[in-house]
Amino acid sequence: MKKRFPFVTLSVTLAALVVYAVPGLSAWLVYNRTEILRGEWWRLFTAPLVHFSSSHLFWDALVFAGAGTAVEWLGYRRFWLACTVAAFLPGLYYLAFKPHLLVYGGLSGLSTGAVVYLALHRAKRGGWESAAWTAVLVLVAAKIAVEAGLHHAIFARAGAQPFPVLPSAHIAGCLGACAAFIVDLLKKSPA
Amino acid sequence: MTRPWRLLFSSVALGAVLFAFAGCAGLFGNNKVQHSSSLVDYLYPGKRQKVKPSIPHLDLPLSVGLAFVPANTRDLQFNEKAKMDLMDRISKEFKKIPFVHDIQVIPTAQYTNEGVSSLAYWTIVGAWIVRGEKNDTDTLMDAAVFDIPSRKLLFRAPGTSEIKGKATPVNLDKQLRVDSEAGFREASAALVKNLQTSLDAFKKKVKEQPKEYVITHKEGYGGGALGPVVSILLLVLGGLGLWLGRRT
Repeated sequence: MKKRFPFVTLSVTLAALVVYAVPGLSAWLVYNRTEILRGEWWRLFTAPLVHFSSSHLFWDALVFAGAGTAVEWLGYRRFWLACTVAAFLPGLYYLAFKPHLLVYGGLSGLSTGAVVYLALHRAKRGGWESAAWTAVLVLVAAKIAVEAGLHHAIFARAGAQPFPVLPSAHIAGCLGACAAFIVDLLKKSPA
Repeated sequence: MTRPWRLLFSSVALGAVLFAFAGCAGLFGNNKVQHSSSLVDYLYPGKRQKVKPSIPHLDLPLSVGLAFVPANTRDLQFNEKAKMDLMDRISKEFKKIPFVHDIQVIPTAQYTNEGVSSLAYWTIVGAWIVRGEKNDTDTLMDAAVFDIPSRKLLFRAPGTSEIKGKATPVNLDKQLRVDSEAGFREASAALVKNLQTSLDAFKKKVKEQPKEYVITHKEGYGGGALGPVVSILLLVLGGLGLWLGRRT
């Protein structure tokens, strides 16, 4: 498998860092239901670049950078598809079905997508490696299940204050990863 | 209570209130004319009583109401378009804050409601000095952001202008009107600039003094976050998986 420069991962991570660092940019890009309904549609897919605190950014970006770099370096070609689904789906879903959700941001949907996409590919390889990646998939599933079951009872922190985590963003990441993985399998299958 | 007032005085709202003061001196120095529009006078006519502010409770994301307090005299009628332009510029400053999800600009015409005076008593401590030398026009504007339930001034931003008088007795009224409009523009520009600084200082203050402000998040405020524990577990397990893959 041909090694590839992690272009998507570095671009998205750098963009998230810039958005956090430049004053005013976060407010212009965050998912804001009121402004989206007034015509600022780009917020639907730029929200993952916005973070509410340095720790929120750090952990999301760290996992995305680590998993994304591995994915691209190892040559899994449809990482862009996983990222696209993870970026677009939450915003559209919240706009259509979650009218009470006013503000949303965070890269963790893409991070989850990167981890799951990598884990799905590596878990096929068998042996102890397969066991380790299966454990990763179980951990992701458990996190989402607990968050969804407890209805926002798990909190991340924005500075000194906690804020509710949206498990649906992580589910979108998983769906994107599964879509990319399935397309990979179909393309490899003999016609 | 009309919708703008519910917004302005609900527990989730900050009231961003503008009050403007303008002084115009007459032709002769001793014959000064001063006009003002006072927030306190307008909201609580005849009821002044000291209240002790409590700790503001900011429930994110915030709704901000923005209104221009009407003048208490017919002489102080700023151009409506100029007022709306200023409000738009202030709105843009608030829009730079990610945790402000809505800004309602309340037209002056709607800024009248008999229910306001029954809500709370305020005392605003401050001095506004309006100087007028000959036919100079001095304008002082002030944008004040209040947390209505706690009756606490969160921050404020001033804007001032001093226009030196050029009028002669022949064109006095016209020139004073022109100077007044110019003063409004200059003071507005200064106010917007100061508002940026005040907003930054307020955000810093909220972070540095968590005991001074109670911050909670509504259900409508959420994020995609992994958190440190899950992130570390994922990285360790993923790293282990990659290492095992290299060995085989």
